[in-house]
Amino acid sequence: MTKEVHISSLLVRSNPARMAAVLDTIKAMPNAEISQTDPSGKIVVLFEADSDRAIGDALAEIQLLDGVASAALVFHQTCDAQELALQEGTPQ
Amino acid sequence: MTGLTRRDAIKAQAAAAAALAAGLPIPAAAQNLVTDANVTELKWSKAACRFCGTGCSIMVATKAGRVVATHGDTQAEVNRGLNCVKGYFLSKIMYGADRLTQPLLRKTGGEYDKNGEFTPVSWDEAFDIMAEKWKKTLAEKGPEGIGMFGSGQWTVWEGYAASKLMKAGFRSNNIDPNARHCMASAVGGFMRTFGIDEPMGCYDDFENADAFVLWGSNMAEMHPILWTRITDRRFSHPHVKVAVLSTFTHRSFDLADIPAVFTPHSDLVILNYIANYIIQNEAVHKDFVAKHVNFKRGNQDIGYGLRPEHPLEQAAENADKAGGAEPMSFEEFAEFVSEYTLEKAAEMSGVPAETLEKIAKLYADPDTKVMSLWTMGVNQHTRGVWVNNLLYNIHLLTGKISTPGNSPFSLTGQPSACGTAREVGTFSHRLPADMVVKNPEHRAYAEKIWKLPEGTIPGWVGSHAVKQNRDLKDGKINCYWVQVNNNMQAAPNMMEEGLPGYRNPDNFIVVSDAYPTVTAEAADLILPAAMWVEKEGAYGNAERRTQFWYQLVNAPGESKSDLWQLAEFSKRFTTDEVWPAEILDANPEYKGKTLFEVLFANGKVDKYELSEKAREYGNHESEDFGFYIQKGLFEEYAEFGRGKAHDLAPFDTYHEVRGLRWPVVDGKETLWRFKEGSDPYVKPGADYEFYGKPDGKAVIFALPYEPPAESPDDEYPMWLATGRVLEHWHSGSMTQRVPELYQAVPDALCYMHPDDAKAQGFRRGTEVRIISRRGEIRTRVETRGRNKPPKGLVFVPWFDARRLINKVTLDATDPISKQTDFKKCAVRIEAV
Repeated sequence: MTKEVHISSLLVRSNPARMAAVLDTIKAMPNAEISQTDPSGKIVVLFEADSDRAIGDALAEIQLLDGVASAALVFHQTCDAQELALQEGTPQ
Repeated sequence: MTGLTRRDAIKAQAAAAAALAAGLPIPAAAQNLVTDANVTELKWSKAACRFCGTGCSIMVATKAGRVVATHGDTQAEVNRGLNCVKGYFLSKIMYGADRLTQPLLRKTGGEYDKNGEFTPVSWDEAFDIMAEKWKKTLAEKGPEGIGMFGSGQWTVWEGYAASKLMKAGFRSNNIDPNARHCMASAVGGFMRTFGIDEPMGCYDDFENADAFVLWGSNMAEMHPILWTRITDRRFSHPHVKVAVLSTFTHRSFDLADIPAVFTPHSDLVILNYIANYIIQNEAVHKDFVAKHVNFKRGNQDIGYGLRPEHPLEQAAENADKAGGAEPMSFEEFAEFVSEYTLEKAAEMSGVPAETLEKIAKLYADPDTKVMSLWTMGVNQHTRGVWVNNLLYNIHLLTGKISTPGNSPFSLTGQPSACGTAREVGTFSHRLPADMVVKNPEHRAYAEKIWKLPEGTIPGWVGSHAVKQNRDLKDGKINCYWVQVNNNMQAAPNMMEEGLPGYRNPDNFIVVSDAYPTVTAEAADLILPAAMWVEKEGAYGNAERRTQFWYQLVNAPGESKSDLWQLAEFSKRFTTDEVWPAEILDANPEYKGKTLFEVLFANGKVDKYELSEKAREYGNHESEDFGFYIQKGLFEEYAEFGRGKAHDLAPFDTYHEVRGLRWPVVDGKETLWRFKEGSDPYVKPGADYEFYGKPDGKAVIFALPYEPPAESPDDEYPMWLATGRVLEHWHSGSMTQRVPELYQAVPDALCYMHPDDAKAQGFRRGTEVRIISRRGEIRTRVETRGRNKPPKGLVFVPWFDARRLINKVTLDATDPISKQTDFKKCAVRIEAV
């Protein structure tokens, strides 16, 4: 396999009163993008990184942020970097 | 789809999965992509997570014979698509660089030598030497001379096969699971109060409770998915309160409306105070108590489960009848708890009086539905059964039980501590479905189901976990087989008991594992084990939910499942070699048969043909044995519980559903036991019925505060508590193979209060020795981390194989449950 890419999503439950600060911190993290938020404090975060470790570290960091009650991973896939750039429907 | 790259597609899929799990609308861009098989070319199958006792269902993707991805199962009621950090790395636990792939025997010059080097051998050679050692010991010492140590990580049929091989095949009850270290006090509490094991409520209580009280449990780190359900409830319903009680501040305190750090062991005082508060404030549910509860005074001064010659045991009046109790009246009970006043509780626990009163009010208020949750803080306790009993006391006094949101809930550490260790009964005193070896009727019932001669199962209670290590050291057990656990690292007082026992020259120690753990390295023969989805499996979680999965990939090298190892080993013995002449003379049809024939090819276990297994999945055991062994074992096992309030559904059903909570009657699972309308076993008109007891009544126990086995003194002035951290699980034998988990918290640190550190001249990072009367380890001081001990207490996690804190811990156990107290002993800390 060529270079690995890891794509994952996680669901963060923040205290609604502190969600704005939590969002700012996550936005400033490398590899992270906010996919969705909800006023009840739920935040969906997408990660793309070149190692599992980067995702694991980011998860631990988010989980320990003030205002975060819990952070859970939902999806994780290991991919081949070359394949990722292909157009959908291209034969392997 | 033009213009979209594969990256976009996978990201959309990731976003959609998270949105679905959160109950949020799925982003429009993702809607068309999530079912496009071309995106991933992966084969997805369900499996139960093999880490904690929560019982999350995980979707596992395989590609070219390897697990390449996992995500939370959106169809699963338990985790609703979520996955904690441990579950996230499930796809990697099988692929550690040091995975064992062939049997290894200690040899010198080509021959077995206890002091030799580990040398690769064939399965035949491995079983040859094992059988030779087993036969020699059985001939010289009888069944008492052999032993087995299993796990709450065994699949249901592995635990069942092991129990059957030991108790019926070898006629030895010296089999115990590591669940003894984890859940034995919970079992003791259930059996004493209700006469039947496992929680009456279920996870649906999370969405119905008005208050959550954590007793010695750090759910935020240990049960993150269940914690998510509590945080959801708390944030979406502002009236909901969360109380967290512990001997040190940890991550769960972040959500606590009512935080309470108490002096170790004073939970006994706080619980008795709450019972007293309920009575003094007229909050007793009189009708419920009159109809459904008996009162008993438990024996006191019951000792500490140390070796009998220990002075503390010599001095204990009731060390030999720890579980005894006498009936008493409600008035006598009220009198008994009346000494546990608010002032006394505040003084002994160190918790402010107003905090204690707030917690008591949650229980006393008839309009507040309370869920109590606990794990190791309560169970790993020299009075662990008592604390379990005292927790039930306050739920029974107020009638807050068996209805949605009113739930005393014992959480579980291992994935199948309930399903295997407890329900199958792999403890040294147990048989399936809560039956016990001491009871002749229970033995006869088991012999009938197992189609074995009368008298096959012995009536003596075997050695429990801690006693097994003592028996190994003392040379009473000489052949010992350890499967799917890391007990050298887990069991207490390793230097004085565990290691001398394994290395005793008279003993032959076999360890089945996937990795070279500390335990495997202390063995004489290592057998490579297939793990998790390398075999077809079944687990039972903390809410009575039984879940199945298929073998999704092949195990590496020559690794085989524990089930295969057990059944294959049984072929090496004939009944004539292991059963006494009187049994065979009275039952000549069993003469000359192998244990495999009488235990597994008995017309029941081998009843289902190989062709019945799912075609698209492998099954290495059934393919070898020529019949669908998992189905045969499960259906035979299920006979024990059907019609006896432990009913399991038919085997095939579990491969289709995301688990079912027993008893499963007429195809329906049971959410709340003991309550009419939700539990089919409750007699019509009874309202509640605690049918585990002959008169249908649960028991409230009068039990006092008694001091711990060891408390800080001048020489050893600090409390030591051990436990886990989020990134690791149990002894870390799997999670430490996942570099991401390992690097997150690389070393077990000594968490201490900054003032205590300063008083001894330590800084954060200072290397120190933690010294007890039994041993010492070196580690570094952490004064900041997220675990914040109060003054006078240090916390050291126990996952680190290079810093074995169990050299320091005390092997004091609860005298009723025989479970070790890993949460308190006395130490001193010195700079290196």
